[in-house]
Amino acid sequence: MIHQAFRRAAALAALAAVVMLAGCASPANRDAMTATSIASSKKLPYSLSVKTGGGNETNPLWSADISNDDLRTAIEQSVTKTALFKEVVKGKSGDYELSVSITRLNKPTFGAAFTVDMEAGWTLIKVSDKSVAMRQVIKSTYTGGAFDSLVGTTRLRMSVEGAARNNIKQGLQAISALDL
Amino acid sequence: MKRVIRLLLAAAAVSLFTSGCAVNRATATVDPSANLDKLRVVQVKQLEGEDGTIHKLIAGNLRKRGLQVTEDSKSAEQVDAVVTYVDKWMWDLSMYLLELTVTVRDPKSDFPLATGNSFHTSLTRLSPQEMVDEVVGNIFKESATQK
Repeated sequence: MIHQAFRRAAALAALAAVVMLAGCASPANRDAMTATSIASSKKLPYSLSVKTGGGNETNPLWSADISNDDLRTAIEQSVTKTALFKEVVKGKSGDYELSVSITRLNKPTFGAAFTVDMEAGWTLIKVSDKSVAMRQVIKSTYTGGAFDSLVGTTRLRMSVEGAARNNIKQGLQAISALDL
Repeated sequence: MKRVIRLLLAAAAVSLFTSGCAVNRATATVDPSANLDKLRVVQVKQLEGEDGTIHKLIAGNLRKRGLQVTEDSKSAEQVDAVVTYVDKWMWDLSMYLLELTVTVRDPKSDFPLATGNSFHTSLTRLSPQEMVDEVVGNIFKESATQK
């Protein structure tokens, strides 16, 4: 009798482990992708609007992805936190329009410490005369810790967020180096 | 012990079944500073380790659109754009193309002028030819809507 109860408990534990370790994929969080500081303390006296592309909605049965809305919000929050531009505006009413498009988000399928590589095209356009102030490809990478979380999908999501955060940081640093 | 094995088999079956659900995605983005209409000569760069299947299909699709596709050996300065791609294959009874990303790049700076991506899981799998047609088609469709 005790033996049978032990078997049942073991079976339930095994099932719980399968469910827990598999987990469901959740999208990259906009706050976790936000860069809070950059190397430069430059303050540009212009307003900026942000447009994003190349992102994808996360399918819970697959792996963490970055949606266009979340990336746009993360960039807007980063611009506000670093105070690089005077203000962030919606639509095309700003002095400059920043367009960021994800072209590659390389995610591993298995592993303990996940390394995610991201590539995005950053274009800054002066709205008044449509001139291109910056056109640069930004490549970033992030490796999460093997013990950041027990759940693999969470560790992968954290690495995706880290790669996006680094990309935003590098992109804003590139803009701060411009003479606008 | 048999019960444990049965339970684990059931869990594995559920996990196998759920991952087989249809996921479809087809997106394209064109940079606001890019003008794909100006492209005349392009180079499709073969992905390292790829057998050339996707390379030929992309080149064929671009030729049908009236573009001149040059050999890999030609210098990047002699072309208007370099086309790169990443293909991801998966096994489900047979190998199929799970995801294809095609990027049109500036030959000098490597800047991505346009990108298309399609993702179709096993139940709604497309042939490599259909996948290439969808991705490249979406890039040029997106470029036309941006005008």
